[in-house]
Amino acid sequence: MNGHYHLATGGRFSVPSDNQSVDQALRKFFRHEMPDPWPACRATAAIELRKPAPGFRDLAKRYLALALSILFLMMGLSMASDWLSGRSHRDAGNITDSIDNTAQPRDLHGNPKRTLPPAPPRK
Amino acid sequence: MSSPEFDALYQKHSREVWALAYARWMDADAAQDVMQETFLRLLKEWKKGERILNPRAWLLRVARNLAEDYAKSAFRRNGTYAPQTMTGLRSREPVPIDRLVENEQYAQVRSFLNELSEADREVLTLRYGLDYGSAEIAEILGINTAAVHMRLSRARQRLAERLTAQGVVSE
Repeated sequence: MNGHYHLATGGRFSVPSDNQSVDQALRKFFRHEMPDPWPACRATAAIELRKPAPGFRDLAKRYLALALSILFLMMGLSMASDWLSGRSHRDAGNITDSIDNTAQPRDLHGNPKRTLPPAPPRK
Repeated sequence: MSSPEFDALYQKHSREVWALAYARWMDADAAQDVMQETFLRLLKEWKKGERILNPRAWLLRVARNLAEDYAKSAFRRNGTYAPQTMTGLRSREPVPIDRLVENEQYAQVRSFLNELSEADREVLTLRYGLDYGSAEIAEILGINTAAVHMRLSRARQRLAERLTAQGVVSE
């Protein structure tokens, strides 16, 4: 078993009889068979894709938070509308109080404005 | 079991799992399927809260069983073609002549390896695919190092004989 063996198909892939070269040939074959690059683990990828569904507690917490938010919003709206309506009533009262029909118009210095008497009708 | 621990386990043992599955069928794609399925099952076991004391031994045992069941499960259930049929299909793309010759040579080596026993193929795959030493191979296969040496020597010798006898190699 001395000397070199050559494949009949062109002699590119030589399989010599000595152990070292047989080793090289086998190593080349098995390296060719192994996936390159080495594949990622599908199991972990599947786990990452499949996020765990929220449990009952998580779900209850979320619903509670939503309910509280709605409650606060409604309370806020109600308070705001009450405040606005109260203010509008007050403002309306103030305005009517502040209107003085008898007061004369004044100029910038606070002196009563002189108003011209109405012109006599032309004949 | 955290994700980094599982990833570390995959990095450490996935090649061994692949090698055992490959030695069963001499089919790289089938071996990859078996490897992925093996790790998926391990993850499921952990999620169930099962305590696996020796993950490596568990993985190798499950990989062997899955590889054994592979032909009767996957191909029959899915109705897919057997690997040898698929590898025989020609691509529409032009293939360089060097590549064709190389593929032909690999196919011949594969067919000779197929004539060996599974036990011999396991030793060869671990030795030449993963560059494992005798001690590591012995540990994985659960045999002593002397047996590994014997199998390795015998397999190598048989392979050289096959190559010569079939006229694939000439002196």
